[in-house]
Amino acid sequence: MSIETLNIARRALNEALGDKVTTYFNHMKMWFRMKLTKEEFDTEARSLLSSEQVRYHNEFLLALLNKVEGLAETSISIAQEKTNSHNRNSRRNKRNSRSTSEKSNFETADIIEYLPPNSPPGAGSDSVKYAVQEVFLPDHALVVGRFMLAAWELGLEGAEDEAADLIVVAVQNFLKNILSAVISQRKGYKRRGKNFIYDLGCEVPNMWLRNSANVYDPQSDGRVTVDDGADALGPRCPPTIDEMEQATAMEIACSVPDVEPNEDRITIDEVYNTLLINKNIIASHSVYAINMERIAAMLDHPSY
Amino acid sequence: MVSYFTLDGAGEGAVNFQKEISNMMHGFGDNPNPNAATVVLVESIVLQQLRNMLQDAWHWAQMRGVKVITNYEVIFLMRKNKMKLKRLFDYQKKLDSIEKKQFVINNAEEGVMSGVLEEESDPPSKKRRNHTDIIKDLDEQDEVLHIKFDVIDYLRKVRAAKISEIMSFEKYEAYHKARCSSFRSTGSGINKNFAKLEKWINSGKEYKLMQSALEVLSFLAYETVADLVDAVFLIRQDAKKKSGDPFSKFEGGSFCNPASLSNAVYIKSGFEGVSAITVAEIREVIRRFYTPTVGMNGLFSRNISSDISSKYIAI
Repeated sequence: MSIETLNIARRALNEALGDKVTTYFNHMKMWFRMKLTKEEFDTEARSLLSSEQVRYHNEFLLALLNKVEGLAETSISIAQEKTNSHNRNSRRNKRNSRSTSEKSNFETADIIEYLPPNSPPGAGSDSVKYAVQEVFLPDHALVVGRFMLAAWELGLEGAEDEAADLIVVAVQNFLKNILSAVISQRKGYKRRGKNFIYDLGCEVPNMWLRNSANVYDPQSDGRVTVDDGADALGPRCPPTIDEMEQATAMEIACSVPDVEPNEDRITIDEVYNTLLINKNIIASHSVYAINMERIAAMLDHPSY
Repeated sequence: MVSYFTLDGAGEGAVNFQKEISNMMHGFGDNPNPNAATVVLVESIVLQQLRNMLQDAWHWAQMRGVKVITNYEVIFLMRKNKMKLKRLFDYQKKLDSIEKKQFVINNAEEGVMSGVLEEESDPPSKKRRNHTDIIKDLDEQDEVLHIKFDVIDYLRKVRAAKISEIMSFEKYEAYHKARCSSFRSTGSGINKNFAKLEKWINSGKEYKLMQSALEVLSFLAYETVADLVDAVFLIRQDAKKKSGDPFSKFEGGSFCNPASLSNAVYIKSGFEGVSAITVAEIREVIRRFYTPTVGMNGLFSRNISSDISSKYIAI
């Protein structure tokens, strides 16, 4: 498994580094936090190690990137270019020492050396502290990388893929909870049982009209019914499309006409008020308190 | 994820209900071949819900001072949901009538037919079911008994019968098999028991369960799968909505009766046209069920109260 190769490479690197382990891993942490680009991390690492030990560094990086798919292809090619250029340098020296009268060969420049660095330059990599302040949600590769780093620092063996999967889904859940709460403050919705909110943005029947009492949703009865099969329970025949259309038309007829234009964007004010009312969306008090203070500070102005 | 359709041959303790759940999901409206990973997920959700219910029932049993979990405790868990109580009520009536008929058929040769057809006598080999008595006990305001006969439901049953008449034979076979799945073990007539179900939820034999309790639990498990599939179809409608057109959420028509879509407005070809339920949809359903903004954990409260863990999908 690739975890084994990764661990073997890591142990070999640790032995080679000796005392400089902490500096090396500090550089690696900064690379993950996007404070260093890959090239800078590479140059720092090479300055720490002697030329034979660079091999361990390369192997370790290759194993890590193989583990973390998606980053593998570009980085393997970059690492191979580096080793090739290293070999080419030593070969060129030998050739020059042997034949001095040979014309120096023309070699095309190595394009990789002239490419801009990997991370987007405008991302403000100096001020970015957390990898998620770029606009994307954390993906599997990034989370696995950070987990493994943290695990090694604490002396653990590494991180599994399923832990990273859990975190990715958890972040999405969290954001969806906040968004659902904000939108349900603005628009109508229907409820199934006591807990299940659906159909956000539906037409809310006007309770002062007499026909609103007859508004009936054919889907609200569930899918189970007692019938004549051998088990006495069976799936119920679902409503026909005509029934559904008729129920929707009735609902629209009973609802209040919406005259105001639909302001689609969610404002910071709405988020602030929603979080004030539903404190349980953010279960951890320290996260909640710090972020609410930040928002309040943003909404504040000395002239208020 | 974990193991997919493991055939039970060599598995040590690999009791799983994946085939049954797969059939049930098709019966409730999913594709005839549901996604395997989804079935595994649904199975683990149902298992977790049942085990939580078992633990709660054990808690109530201890409060009453009995050592065995009976159906009283399990029905007590459902006491607040009148619709489910009514359905359990009708379920028992139906099961009783089926058993009586089978008893009559089995004993027809012995000539005891006339004696058995009286109302009070029951098949002697089976202890009497008492779910209805317990429900009547718990229902102080007689709400369950007053839920009236549903005309719309009856018309739907008639329509379902008509629709199955126009299905071809193979489709009907599959459809019928799907409708017959449940959490009971297969057996003949009176021998239907819940051995597999008990091994599944109570494999360590920590709790003592009565057969009647297992019957109610199998009913609740069935309801859980039904509610999950129903919620998935509600989410799919939400995803299809377009602003300004209130009927756009019905496009595709996968939630409603496929045979009624024969008018060419919506393109459909029966159950095969429904795309299989994915793992992400089930995860979204679970998220919405356990969202922290409703109930006791909703507006203005700060600490997450314990009722999130005791919320059940089926109840």
